[in-house]
Amino acid sequence: MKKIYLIIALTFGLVHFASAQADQQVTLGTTHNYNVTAVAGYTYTWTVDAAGSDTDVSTVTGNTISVDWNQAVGVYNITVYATDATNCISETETISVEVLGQSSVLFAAADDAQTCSDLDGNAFGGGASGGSSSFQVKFTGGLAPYDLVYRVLDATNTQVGTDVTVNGLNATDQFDVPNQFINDGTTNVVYKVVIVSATTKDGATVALPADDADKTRTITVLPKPRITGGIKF
Amino acid sequence: MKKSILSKLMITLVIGLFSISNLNAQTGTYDAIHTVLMGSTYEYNVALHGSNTYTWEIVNPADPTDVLEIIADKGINKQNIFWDPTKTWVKNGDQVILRVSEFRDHGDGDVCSSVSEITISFTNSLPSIEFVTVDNAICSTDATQVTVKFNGVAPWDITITDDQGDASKTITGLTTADPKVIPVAGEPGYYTYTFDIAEGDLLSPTGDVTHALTFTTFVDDNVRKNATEANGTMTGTLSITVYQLPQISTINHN
Repeated sequence: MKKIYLIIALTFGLVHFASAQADQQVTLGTTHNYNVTAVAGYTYTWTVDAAGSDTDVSTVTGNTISVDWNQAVGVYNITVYATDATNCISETETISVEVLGQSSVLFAAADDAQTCSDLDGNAFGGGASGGSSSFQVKFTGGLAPYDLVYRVLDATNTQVGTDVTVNGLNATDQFDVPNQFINDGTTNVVYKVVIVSATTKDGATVALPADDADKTRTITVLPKPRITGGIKF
Repeated sequence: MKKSILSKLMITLVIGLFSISNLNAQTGTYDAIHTVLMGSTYEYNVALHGSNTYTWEIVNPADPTDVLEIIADKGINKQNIFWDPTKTWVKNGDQVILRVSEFRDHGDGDVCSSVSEITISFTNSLPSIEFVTVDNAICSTDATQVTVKFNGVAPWDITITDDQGDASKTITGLTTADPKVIPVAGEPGYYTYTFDIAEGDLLSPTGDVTHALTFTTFVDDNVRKNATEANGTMTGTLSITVYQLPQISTINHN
């Protein structure tokens, strides 16, 4: 019975330890600055426990360091203490930094959209999809939230309008593309929504999928229904 | 004739077992020469053998037949002796003999006796203590070692106080058995003793404060038994500056 209690206690402890939140999360490959309030006459000694050429701050004596987190994912500590003119040293200050893996993004579902054509002047043309088409995206790795840029191409792969930036997307999220398409023809017109780029919160580039199918969705615009013969009276 | 031979034999046996010692467990048995502080009282004793009687005498060392004073005639086996500085033979640097004669009456006319002696050497010098450590500075939370140099007769009591109103550093019952009590080479009778003091000991409050440490108590066994002196000679002041630790903010990041 005691063994069971011990196992439970150890398991709880390990889970609790693993879930402990670092003071800061960053994306692998990003550079971040750290500082303490400068005091005249003090020199500062910094250490970053991710030993390596890109995290060696042993020569820095100022109150600011810049760390290029390009080593490996994991949790690391940054520690600093001050030395004053009498050679007394301060207590140490430490923060933990969790380096997250590089990120990628793709459309999360096969959710191609279909919408009615707008009327002339982009007046709403009806239809169940309403005024916009929603597309689910999924980010993996990196530091959320993310910014995503998409563009719309017509059937001839000509860009419609300008690139659009959607800010603040979570790891699993969706964005809406306004249904501002007019189809005066008699057959469906297909537009493409293509993810152009994305970045993490700390500015790291999010990798795009190699397969176009994972970064492209379509909006099929139905032709306007036509009233023929005019109004009789 | 047989009685005379037996008596001599008994005297020889008793002399072999008989010596003056001291009852104070901290100091142990006196050496052959006991240096005493004039004006002090010391307790002396010899081993008690049955109903034997003991005569205590002060004798001129230059002439063992010259008895300067009989302290007790056929008394008990121990005496508290006050070395009165008003007596003509109690002089700084002089010596006398403390002689104890033990008598055993066998009831048949034979009285066996034996004698034990120690030399008493008088001094009017109080023990002295001084700082060896020079003035220094430390960071708050650090400790510093302080070394003092002193002489006298164990056990020693030392109290050091600083001028910032902090608690005293008190060392009591120091003896030469303490491994940190080290004889000073080339200075017989002198010792050094080293100890740590730290923040919260004598050196608070902290924060770029200079503490002036002085002795406020220095007692050795001679002082302890002296009728007029409360302390030995205490010399010097030790200044220790305690620097406040630098303060650092939390780490900011982007």
